[in-house]
Amino acid sequence: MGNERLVLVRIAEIQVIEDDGVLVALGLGSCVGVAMYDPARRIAGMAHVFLPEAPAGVGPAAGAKGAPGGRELAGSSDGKPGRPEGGGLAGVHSGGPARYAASGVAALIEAMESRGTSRSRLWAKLAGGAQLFLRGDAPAVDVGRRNAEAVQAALAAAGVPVLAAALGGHVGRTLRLWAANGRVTVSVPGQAEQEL
Amino acid sequence: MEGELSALQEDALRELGNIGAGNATTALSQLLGDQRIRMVSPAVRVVALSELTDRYGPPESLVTGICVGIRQGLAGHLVLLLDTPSAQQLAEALLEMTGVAAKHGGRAAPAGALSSPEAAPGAAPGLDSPPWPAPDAPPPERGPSDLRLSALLELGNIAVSAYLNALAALTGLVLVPSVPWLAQDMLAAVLNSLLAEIGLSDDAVLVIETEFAGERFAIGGRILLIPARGQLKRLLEAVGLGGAQ
Repeated sequence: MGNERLVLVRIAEIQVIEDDGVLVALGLGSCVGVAMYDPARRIAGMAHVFLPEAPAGVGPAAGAKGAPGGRELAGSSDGKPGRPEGGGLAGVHSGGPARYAASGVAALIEAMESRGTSRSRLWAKLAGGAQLFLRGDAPAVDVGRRNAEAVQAALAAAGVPVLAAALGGHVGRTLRLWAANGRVTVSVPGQAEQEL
Repeated sequence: MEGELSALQEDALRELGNIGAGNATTALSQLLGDQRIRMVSPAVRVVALSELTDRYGPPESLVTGICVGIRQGLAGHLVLLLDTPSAQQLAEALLEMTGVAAKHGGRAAPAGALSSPEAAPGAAPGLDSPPWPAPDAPPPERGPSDLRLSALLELGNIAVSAYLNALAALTGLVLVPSVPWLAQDMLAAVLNSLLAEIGLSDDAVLVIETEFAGERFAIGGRILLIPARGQLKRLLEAVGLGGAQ
């Protein structure tokens, strides 16, 4: 067990592995880690979602500030490739399919389907979406909560059930998914790793 | 993202970071009885989002991050990142200076002491007002005491203000800091939350970073100046290096 292949899933990234190895999203704060698994084919995928949607003024998906997180995003998660929703700066967006919740979830499902999974077999487990910063000027929007809502809305729209989640609160989390058996764990600083 | 910087411009930004951070660490060193703190490797970098979490240490290492937003003359954020032992030492040094530690037998109050009724009489003179208005749901699982958090916020304030004062003096810009935010958690979690709060819309971010380390005292950390998108030009113009490269 000590020699398992670790595959890091960094901010805004998506990774898919099969049969063995462990997917790891280290230190999720307000980001949401989506662990997705096909038990029949032992295909494991993970997305490290950074923001609920493109910030206001960046691209067409930008909603009004403080709009209910993610609801308006659900329509776009229909399995299309994860095109970046905000134009942002052309050319700088190459590496971040999971930058936004809806397109990230869609891109993760797509990446797993391209390995031969069937959407009907997939389940998801989630971690992250915390609010780490204590601040005097209360934030207008809690990015972590909105991330969590947007990811859940996108998964619901895609018909992928969420079996377990460790979301919200004020603590950073590390999420792991084992391809061999779909085991998922969450760890927080100073505590033992827990099964999710 | 902001176009290529000329060598001269990069030098100027690095120097701004160096002087700002120099001022900040001077303020911190005074808290530690004039322990010398030296600057290491000031740099100006465009850091990709995906490499950010590895850049400043192991992603799961515990850090304290204190951040202020900057408004008016320049829009951006200034971040003080301290490794956990440094944050603890600095907090205790500050508490000692303000005479609080003595009342607690040389140690900061244990977690939750201020919120439990029997500890209320021990509430620290001079630090009796909370550093931030009570949030809707107070975080339950904070490790350090409220007192130590107040001290950390205060020293963050001191360091960051010193940096901004130097930057304002060098650039002639009016720089108004926001109320500081604080997080204590895994490095990766603190940084990705910070960038999400900033609402970063690019895949990379320009950081003017300065690392510092105590010479005898084991203090280590970094100060990061993150100008908002489009603000670099203003910063360069303020030091007479705007315009074409």
